[in-house]
Amino acid sequence: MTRPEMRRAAARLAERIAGDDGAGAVVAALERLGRGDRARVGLG
Amino acid sequence: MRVLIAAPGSRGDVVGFVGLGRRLASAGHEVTVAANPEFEQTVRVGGVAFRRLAGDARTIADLGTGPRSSLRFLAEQAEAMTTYLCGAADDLVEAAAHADVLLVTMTAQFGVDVAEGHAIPSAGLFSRPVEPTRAFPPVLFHTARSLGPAGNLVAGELARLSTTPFHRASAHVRAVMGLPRRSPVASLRRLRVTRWPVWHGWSPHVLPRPVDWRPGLEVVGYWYPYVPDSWEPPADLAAFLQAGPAPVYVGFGSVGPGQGERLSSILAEALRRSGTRAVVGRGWARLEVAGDDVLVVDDVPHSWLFPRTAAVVPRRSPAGSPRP
Repeated sequence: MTRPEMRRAAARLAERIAGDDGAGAVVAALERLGRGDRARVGLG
Repeated sequence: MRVLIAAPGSRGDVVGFVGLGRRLASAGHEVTVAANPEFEQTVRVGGVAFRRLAGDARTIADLGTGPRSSLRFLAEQAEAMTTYLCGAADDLVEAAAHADVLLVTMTAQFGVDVAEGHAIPSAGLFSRPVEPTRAFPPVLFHTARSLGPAGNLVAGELARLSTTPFHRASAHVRAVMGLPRRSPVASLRRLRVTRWPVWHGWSPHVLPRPVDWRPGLEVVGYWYPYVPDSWEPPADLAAFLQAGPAPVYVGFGSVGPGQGERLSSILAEALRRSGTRAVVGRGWARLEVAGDDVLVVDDVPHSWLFPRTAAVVPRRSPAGSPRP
């Protein structure tokens, strides 16, 4: 792999990572818990 | 809801959860991050409440330079870790009495028992894959060399059961809270049967979720440290970056307290031979490297610094690895 190819691959990966929302997944689960949907949230 | 995040450990074990806590707070939750005393300011600056968990993680990171495989070393390490975790656990038992839900990080797995004692729900916020899988060997082995699908799985189960200090801390909590005794095997089985949820804080584009993981284990993406909009780099760092080509960043984070002289000497020689400009993170090793082409810095947001460097040389442990 050439250096420009590596740079492009790294840029693509960075773009995908930026699309993740790790905090949002936790927020969404706790919102379900707040609505009383404990079973669906799966909290132990 | 009153959300308590239990985050004992070093800086890398805390800062990502301050960012997550801030996001939870913006969604309307009353968030508290429980961590060791030195991170009180870091937590409060993030706009979430702080609870103290006794201890200083240097006591489990500063274990000398002896052979790391000796039985004596392993016994000392386990003893120090047990003392550290039990101290934090005692404070978490008290803090969780005021919470509606308890979220526990890798180093606070005894929080499962704390939540059970208070009859509140809990979930995991893990930065590493500790659940056994056929896909790769356990991270405790510090190697990416596969043992084969069956070998990876068996090794993963053994690794999960070998983390004695964590099991001792759980036993301590159960005794303190008057819960019935439960063996490590039974505890792990219960987590699996109840599908105890764990959110893993790395990108699935970097390490996909193993296909053989049970339901309830999710890989959701990184949790980023909070950096105030008003943050400005120290003047000497800004000047250093402007004065020449992009430097390499070298940092060992919380690794090596008490070994600063040895590590600094090795690093100085490496930089001299390579002729590289470098920004060095002082870290818990208290690295000190002199020279016109080197600048030693204290904590600087990685999200600001790394795009201004040519390369990053981080510590190996994934728990505190630099996030993008």
